[in-house]
Amino acid sequence: MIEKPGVQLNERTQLLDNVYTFKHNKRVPLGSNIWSWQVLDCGYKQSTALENYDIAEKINREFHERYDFDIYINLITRNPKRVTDLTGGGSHWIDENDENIQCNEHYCMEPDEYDELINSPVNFYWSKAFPRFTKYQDNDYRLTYGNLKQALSEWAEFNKYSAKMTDININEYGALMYYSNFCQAPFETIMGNLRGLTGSSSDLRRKKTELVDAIQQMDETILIPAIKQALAADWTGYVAPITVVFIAHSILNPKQFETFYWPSLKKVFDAAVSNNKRIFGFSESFILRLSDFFADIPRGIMMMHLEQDDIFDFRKVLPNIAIAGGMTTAKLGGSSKDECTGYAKYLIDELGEGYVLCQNKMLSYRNDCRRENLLAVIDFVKNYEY
Amino acid sequence: MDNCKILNFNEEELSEIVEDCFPDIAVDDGKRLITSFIGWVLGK
Repeated sequence: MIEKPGVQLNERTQLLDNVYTFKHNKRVPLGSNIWSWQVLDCGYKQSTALENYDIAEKINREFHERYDFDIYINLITRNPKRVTDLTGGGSHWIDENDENIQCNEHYCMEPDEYDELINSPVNFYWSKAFPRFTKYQDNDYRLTYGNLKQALSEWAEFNKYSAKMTDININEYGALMYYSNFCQAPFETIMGNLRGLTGSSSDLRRKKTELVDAIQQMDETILIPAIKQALAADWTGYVAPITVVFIAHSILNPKQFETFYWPSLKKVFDAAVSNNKRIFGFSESFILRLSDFFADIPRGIMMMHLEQDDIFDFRKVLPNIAIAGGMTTAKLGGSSKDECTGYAKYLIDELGEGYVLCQNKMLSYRNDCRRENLLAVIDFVKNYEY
Repeated sequence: MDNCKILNFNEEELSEIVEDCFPDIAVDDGKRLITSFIGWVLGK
């Protein structure tokens, strides 16, 4: 138990306020982009952590008490296995050594179904997308009324677990959370949930009109209400009230981005700027090639976590956006403590204001990180006055 | 009822399920709840 979580939370909130506005901090804040590795580090199998919320809580507590990050991204809430197992298993599965989570390419919508998605989303999701998700085509499996009822009940349990972990993190440990209210461009949903990577890539050329129509409709019915909700939300304990995760941009060239993504994203940016609200962006792929779209965001509005871009180039090209990331898995998993702390020093000296030191890629595999390296980096960063 | 397999995935079957799972709420509200659940679970 942390003695004064409120004091810790206030200090960390101040650190993040200064990061967004590029003011000098007494030290650089530390973020965690650690996922499946957390479970392995605490000596558990992935299946155990995902099946048992008491053990997941124990892992979260042990992990925080060992590393004491300022900001967390995942509290073993990414893969609700107890829910998905009741509805056909979903597209994620645990590898045979029970060490990490894998995801298959999948789709739940055919290219000629855009009209159904636009005209009757309730019917489309029930009669087309859901049967495919539940592997209806597999004759060995048929979802029952009882499975669905139980899945809905497990969904409620999962939401309770997730809320409890967030509450512990913020109010008991005084730590911050990265992810808050998601305001995703609809193209992310179309690629990630409905058409898949292959299908959406094809639709960019063959179903352009239908795709634009669906995006416009989803902007109105999903994105704009999400933005309104984010703007009205209490975001105490979060780095920003608005979260945008960028994945689907990775298959778009700048012209396609302008057509299929930017009209939605601009709505988020405009709302944030006009209401002086912050955005946390998480880019799972290179995004600097789309820098023109981010150039006009005023300082103080956005921080972007970079998984793959060169962090120093990003600072030069987009000095208006604060940055999180930088510490590579190559260093954490494949070098010495001295090399890791030396690189942490270099990152802080080069980036300084407007920077959160964080692992650049999601730590997922056992060899992504060595515990002694991570502890050394944390100890160094917490004591290094740049 | 719990052992009934979902076979058709049509609107009629959805209404039956909603009446069985959520006897205390309006059918349209139940449908919206299940649609929200499906939208959430598809990303998992």
